[in-house]
Amino acid sequence: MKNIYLAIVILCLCISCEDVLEEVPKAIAAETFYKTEAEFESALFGAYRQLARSPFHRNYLLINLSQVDYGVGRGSYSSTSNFQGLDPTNIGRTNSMWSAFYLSIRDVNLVIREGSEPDVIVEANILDPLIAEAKFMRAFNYFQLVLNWGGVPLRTEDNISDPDVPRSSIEDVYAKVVEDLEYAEQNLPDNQSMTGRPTKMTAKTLLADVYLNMGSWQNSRDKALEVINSNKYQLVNVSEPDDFYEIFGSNIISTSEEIFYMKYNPLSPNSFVVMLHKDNRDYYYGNGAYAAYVPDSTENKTIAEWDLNDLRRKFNLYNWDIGVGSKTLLYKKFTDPDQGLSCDYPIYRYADLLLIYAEADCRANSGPTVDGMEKLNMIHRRGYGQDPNVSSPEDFNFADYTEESFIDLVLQERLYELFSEHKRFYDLKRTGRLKSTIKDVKGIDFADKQFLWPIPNTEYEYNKAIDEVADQNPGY
Amino acid sequence: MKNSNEFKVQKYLFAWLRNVLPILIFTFLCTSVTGQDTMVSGSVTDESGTPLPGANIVEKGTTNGVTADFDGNFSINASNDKATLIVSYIGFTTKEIAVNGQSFLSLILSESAAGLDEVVVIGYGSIKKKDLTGSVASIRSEDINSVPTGPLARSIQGRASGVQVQQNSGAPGSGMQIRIRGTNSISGSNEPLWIIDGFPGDQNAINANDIESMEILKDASATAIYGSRGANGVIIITTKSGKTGKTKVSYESSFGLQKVRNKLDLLNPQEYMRFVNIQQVNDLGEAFFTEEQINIAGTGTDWQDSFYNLAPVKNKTISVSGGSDKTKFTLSYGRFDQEGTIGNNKFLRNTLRAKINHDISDKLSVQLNTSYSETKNENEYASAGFRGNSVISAIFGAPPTLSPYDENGEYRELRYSYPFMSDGLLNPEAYIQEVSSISQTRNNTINLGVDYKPIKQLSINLSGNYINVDGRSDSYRTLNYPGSQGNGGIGISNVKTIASNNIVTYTNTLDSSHTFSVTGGVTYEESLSTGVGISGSGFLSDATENYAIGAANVVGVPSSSYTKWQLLSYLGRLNYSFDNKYYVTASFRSDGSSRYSEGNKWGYFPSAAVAYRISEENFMKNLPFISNLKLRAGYGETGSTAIAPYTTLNMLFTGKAIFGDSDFTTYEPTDRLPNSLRWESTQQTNVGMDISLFDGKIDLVADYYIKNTKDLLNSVQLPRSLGYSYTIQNIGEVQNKGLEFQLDAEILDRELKWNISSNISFNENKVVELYDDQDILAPGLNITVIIDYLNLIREGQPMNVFYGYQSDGYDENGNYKYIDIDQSGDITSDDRTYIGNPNPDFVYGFSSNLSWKNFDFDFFLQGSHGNDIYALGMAAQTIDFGMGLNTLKDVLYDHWTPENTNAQYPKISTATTPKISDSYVFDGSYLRLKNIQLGYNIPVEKLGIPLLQRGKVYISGQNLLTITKYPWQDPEINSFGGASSLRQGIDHYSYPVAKTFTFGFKLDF
Repeated sequence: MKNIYLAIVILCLCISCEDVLEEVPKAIAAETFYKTEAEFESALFGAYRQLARSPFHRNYLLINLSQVDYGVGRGSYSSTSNFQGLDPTNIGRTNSMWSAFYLSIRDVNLVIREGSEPDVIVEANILDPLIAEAKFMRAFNYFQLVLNWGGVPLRTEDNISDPDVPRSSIEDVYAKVVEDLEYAEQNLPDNQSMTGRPTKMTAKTLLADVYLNMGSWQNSRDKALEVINSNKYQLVNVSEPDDFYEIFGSNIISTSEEIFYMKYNPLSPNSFVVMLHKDNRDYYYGNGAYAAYVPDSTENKTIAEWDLNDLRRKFNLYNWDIGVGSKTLLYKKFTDPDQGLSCDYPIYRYADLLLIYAEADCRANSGPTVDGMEKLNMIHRRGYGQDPNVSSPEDFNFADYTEESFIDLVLQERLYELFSEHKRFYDLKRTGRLKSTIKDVKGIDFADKQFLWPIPNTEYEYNKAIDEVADQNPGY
Repeated sequence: MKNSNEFKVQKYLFAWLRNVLPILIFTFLCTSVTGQDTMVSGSVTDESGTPLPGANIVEKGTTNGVTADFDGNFSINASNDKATLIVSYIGFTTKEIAVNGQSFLSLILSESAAGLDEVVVIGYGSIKKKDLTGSVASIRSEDINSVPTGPLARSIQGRASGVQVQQNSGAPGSGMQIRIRGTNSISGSNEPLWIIDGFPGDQNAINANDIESMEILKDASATAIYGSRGANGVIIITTKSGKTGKTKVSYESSFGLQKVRNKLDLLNPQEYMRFVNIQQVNDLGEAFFTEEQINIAGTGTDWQDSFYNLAPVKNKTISVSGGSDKTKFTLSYGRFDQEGTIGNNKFLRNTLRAKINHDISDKLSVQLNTSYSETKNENEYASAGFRGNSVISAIFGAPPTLSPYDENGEYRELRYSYPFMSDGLLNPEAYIQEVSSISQTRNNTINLGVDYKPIKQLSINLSGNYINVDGRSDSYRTLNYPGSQGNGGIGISNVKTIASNNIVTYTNTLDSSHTFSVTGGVTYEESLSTGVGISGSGFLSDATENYAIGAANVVGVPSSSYTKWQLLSYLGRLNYSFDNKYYVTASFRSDGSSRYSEGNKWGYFPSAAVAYRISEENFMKNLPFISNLKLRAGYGETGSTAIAPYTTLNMLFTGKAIFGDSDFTTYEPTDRLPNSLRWESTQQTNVGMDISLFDGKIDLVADYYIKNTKDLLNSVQLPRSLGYSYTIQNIGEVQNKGLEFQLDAEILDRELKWNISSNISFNENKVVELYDDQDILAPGLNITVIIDYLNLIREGQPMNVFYGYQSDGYDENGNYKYIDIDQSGDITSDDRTYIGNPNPDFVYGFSSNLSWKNFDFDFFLQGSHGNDIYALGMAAQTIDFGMGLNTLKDVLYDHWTPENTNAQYPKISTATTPKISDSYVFDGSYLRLKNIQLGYNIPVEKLGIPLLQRGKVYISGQNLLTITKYPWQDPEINSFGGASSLRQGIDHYSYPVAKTFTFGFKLDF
């Protein structure tokens, strides 16, 4: 008993010192991080995680599939298909994408800022590829932001903690994107040991797309050509529709066509596949949400005019009655019968780049060239199950096309090739054909407010440099 | 189903009898064992000559004892004619008398000055009730035990003024929400602090039968001694201790049957098919079911009947206590075993407690107090959900035309049965049979203490408490479950809490009129929580269940966690009284918490109170019917840590990014920007009055309080482009003020005794200030047709009021119309307005105890008035059309058509687009007969049962009667209730509330 007494007395003596109130978490604090190359790498990977878990997980694809000529959104996505601007539910979705892009930007800004601190204990220059990768990711994020919202607040390593930052002009955002990508293409490695991380050629591909959207045709053409001439990428050969699963299948880890994808695996699955199917066990085992579909295979002009001999027509669509009519088509480029949900999300692949080249080349030369047409024909031939590199009776002849009709041809090829990826809306918008196409196919007058997504209320309500009325995008 | 229920009743009764029969047999066997020595008889009365039936007469130094009968008469076989008898009766002073050869003894006991001399436990000490300066409510142990079902918190519901107890769900073992004098904090806990035998503990780990007394400290002068843990009030539990004397064995057992209180009036198959047809015609122009199909539909499936069980609840406690002059002990074992009214839901709790006190000398004593409790909760079907994706919403939503099994005897895929069927609709039978989830906790508490009294006036108490709580959750979904590949998971958690109290108390009386008591001490508490979680999906066989996670096709990323906090405190209190007339109490506590940043770690919590017993004044002696009149006033400050550990640090969290096909670890800041924070503090002023009339026959306690909680901690939004979405700041102030009354009366005190007790509490809550006028929105609600928030915290309003649209009948298409409050021409979120308040105007309780001869009859009423409920489950069930879900008969018979534009429900069409509105806000007031009980005290000595001291049998019923206007399942519900939940007053597919019939007995040997 005396021992207990003693023990308790000792205990109360021990606790009298105030050191006990120090917090020592078994976790990593920011203050002690960003010291080694591995730590910088983990910090940089966070920028990918934000994008994979939020925009590209589901809504970037779904909202874009709800605002195309060939299909509609269902349920809460359906209002977007009326082309009268986004409703509150979808604004909520674009708001969370805004947050995710900026979380990703925050992560890379921290890497860039901490990487330039003098007390970093790693060797000089060893961080350069990581800084270049961070700048690539920053450019990628700002490019998505400028495409969808126009001019946005520019946050870099220099104004990381300033809450009030005004919207920059579209030009200024593009200028920053180009600056970051020019650094990235210089300093990124030629090869990465893991797919999903950018190389020099990834940076050039993104730059080609950025220039295309800036209307800087020659620059775009040149960057795309550098990628083509590197011979780093090849189109995958197909001979029947399901061969396209060699590119898009959930079990495919990478292909010779992959330039930049959001990667998924069963442990960290996507959810965009869930959103495309109902309960067809050939394509998806479980409760799909079938949030986007083609209502009628015969009524929709874009679909009805698609040559049934084009393997991509059969590959991309299947008939499945979800309760709205027997001619309903669902998208099946992305399927996962095993419920692993490990389909990757393609952002840039070689087919896309070849068509970027064709478009930029035509614009730069004020009309199609043999080379531009050849690149387009490569895609076209493959779509019919032929060798992309051997000329074919299916080929288009450049002499038949003017600048504008060739652009239409590129758009058609992009439609078929990049079907049910997120590109169609931006392609039509870039080429000035959005309103006319929607009117032509759906008979709807496209409201201008849908060109851009609104600046989130969670931004202007707390950012004193952005005014709710004066700085909002038109129509919201 | 009915037959099987009857069968179950028999089965359960037999099983229970099998358990208790040996004890009953033992009791009766003992009746034949008697000896023949010196027979002494006598009578026991009070000073006025009134007999004291049930008085205990024990031969000193033996275990031999009897109880006086109705007329106060007894006879006892004393071992010899020199024996000494000890006579005791509750509320009277115990008396010893030597037999000295007499054969008849007339024993007169005098009343111990009960009531005022009653000792009340307060923070780090105890005090006579008459000397209290603060607001403290005591709950009698018989009241705590009166309702045999459910968690401890339920036993205090309606028993004390100023305390609001809400049931969150009707599920066995489910949580209760307790608010003492309103809600103070937005992000911190609003639950009171539970002190069990001197240390913070878990109220769920304690058997109500082990409780000797329970005190609720309400005002700051009583709670400030608990400093940063006292802002929400303190509930102090003292467990039973052994008493010197013969060893007492008690056995209590009860058996109850529970039945769902209220079934919903859903459509039968014919009605369902007509209902579906109306929707199909409205939306697609064509009926789905033909008249012929409707005519042959038959009786179909009543899914409520299929899954609502008659469920048994069993409770037993056996305890042994006693002691010598130096050593006292008590041991007890309790088992509470409850089945849920849905599916195979079960709750089990075993408790073991041992308490030993030993006096080493007059000056030094030691005590050991240990307890072990384990709880096991199987398949607690979560509430909430929509479109049949939870068990409860599936029971309501499943079509009555379909059965759980298809023609092949396999689980029917309800969701694919009709083309319009909700994709989320699960088959409740499949879920109940094939999905299991078990959560278990094991709580070990060890409490060691030493008392040292070097001189009479000085007491030094050093004690240490160790609590180890192991938690484990197991879940498994078999391959038989439709669409399942087998999913399993295990979660393991451990919380170790070490606490130490070191308290010195000095009490003295000078000049016979100045009494003072000084208490000072140091306390320390630290808590370490760790956890591990693993999961996997894709199993080859169900044989392994979740015990071979490594065999899964996809093994999930394991999780692990570590959290530790510390609290170091210095405390002191002075109680001073002059002439039993004037009282002053002052206390002080300083708390140092590890959770705050350097420089802000310490919080200081003072209090002071005065009391004046006017009844001791000479001029009051002329009013002899006033036995006590005391006025009290007090002020104090308490606090709340309100933030989780590590909130002020800039911690990185880990996640996974994928490259190639592999996961790579990421480290990122969270989306919370760290900030320097200080304590939340609550300032409370209390004035009160205690009146005792007619020698304590009527007691009235009244209190008025104002509580202001300042520096409220909550998140503040940041522009999203910053890359952090919020930061936590000290942002505002909330006020609670209220009135509370407690009235106890002894109306009859003859052969027929009648006591009543009642209380009523009014509390008014108001948000005084918020940061930058930013509203705080509660997390959203989701039933697909409505996805929105409901509760909101706004300056000038009570906390958590309902915000939504005001409905305005129907438009020409039968769709809802809403009032355009800002007259913008459109219905936008700016048209949202106040539509209800989940906080009651007042809550009340009334209990009556009547006893006559050997019978007693008690009942207890409890109610809440003026609170609103948002019936989210009802909305989901009645306005989500086109999903094939069953609905209320009212929807079919009273919906909008061009001919019936004033209907209760809108047009049955998918085009009906509801919003969060006042249409589903209902008055949640209720008055409920919580318990009614008829008991019979077995006249033990008349029947000549020597070992048995006391015996009682009773039948009782719980929740037998409820008066309410609330139209859905039950008004006593709070689906999202919790310590810091902002979502209050919502009924979202809650587990149904049961009524219970109970039979039980108590035996003392």
